[in-house]
Amino acid sequence: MRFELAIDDSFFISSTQIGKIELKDLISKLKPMQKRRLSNFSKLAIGALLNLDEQLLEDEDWELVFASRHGDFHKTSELLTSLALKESVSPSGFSLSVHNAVAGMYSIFMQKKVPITAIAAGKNGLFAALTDAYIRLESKQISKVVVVLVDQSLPEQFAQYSDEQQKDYALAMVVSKVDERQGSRPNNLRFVRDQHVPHADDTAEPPVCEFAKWLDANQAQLNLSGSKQSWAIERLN
Amino acid sequence: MAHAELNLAVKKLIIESLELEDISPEEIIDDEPLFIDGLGLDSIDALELGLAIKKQYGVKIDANSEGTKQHFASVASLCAFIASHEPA
Repeated sequence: MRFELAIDDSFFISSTQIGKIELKDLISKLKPMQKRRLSNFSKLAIGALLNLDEQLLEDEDWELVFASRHGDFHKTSELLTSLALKESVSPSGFSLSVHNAVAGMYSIFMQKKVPITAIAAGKNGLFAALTDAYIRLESKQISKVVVVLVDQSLPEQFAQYSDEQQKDYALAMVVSKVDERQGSRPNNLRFVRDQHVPHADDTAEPPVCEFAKWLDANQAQLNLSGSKQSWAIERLN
Repeated sequence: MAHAELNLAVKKLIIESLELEDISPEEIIDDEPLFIDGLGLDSIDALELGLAIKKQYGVKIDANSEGTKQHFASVASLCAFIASHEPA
């Protein structure tokens, strides 16, 4: 399988910057009542989304792809703890515990009704999200897809199940079709899935983080592995 | 519990359970509406606050009764409701 996508804009934040960049500064555009129920997970996701170039989406038909391995697992594990202790479950915690809750909030904040996909694809989230974005662009009359990938370190009591480097991060992107008429641009990318089946590596950096760093650097090619799939990504310039 | 004491405790409970960190107890007006106008709370806040009151004061709140709406109208009505259920 192979496809091409243009990355028109991207915003990445990860553990190394969190602290230097305050999460609350990322969401300063929101009204106080909108910020109130946002967990750190939601702040990461919505903060990254709000820092995309708004003008790219103005007057455009766009759709949203949200992908996360674990979702807001810190909140989920609190709810699970309440259940295990036979306590009442927090209604506001519950209301935001579905996988697509953050994506829905973003749509509300932007006051734009957009079709949304919410993906949980383990280590393959990046590939699944970009494949979904590509299919949306090719099969519909839309010009842009907004993609957001977000995850946090596992809560302490689940750390023993960790199978990759533990990090907090969010990557938001505006993607579109590669337009031949515009000539080659540095962020026109080709994604090719290869036959190679990777070995499981419990200490590898999450693919999203590797990809985000590569986007900002200037190497021509990146080889990325998820679970049971590998991709080669190259710049088309 | 003395009236003023309960009043402050309820305001603190509202702030704490609904994560209204930016608001101080003094800013919540006793007889102003808690929902939509006034403090601007919504239906999920109502559920969350109902749960917090049940945990704190052991007062069970019927989600569908017309009376509940009146009890939740303001801090003053909420205090009166809790006080009427408190063991003497």
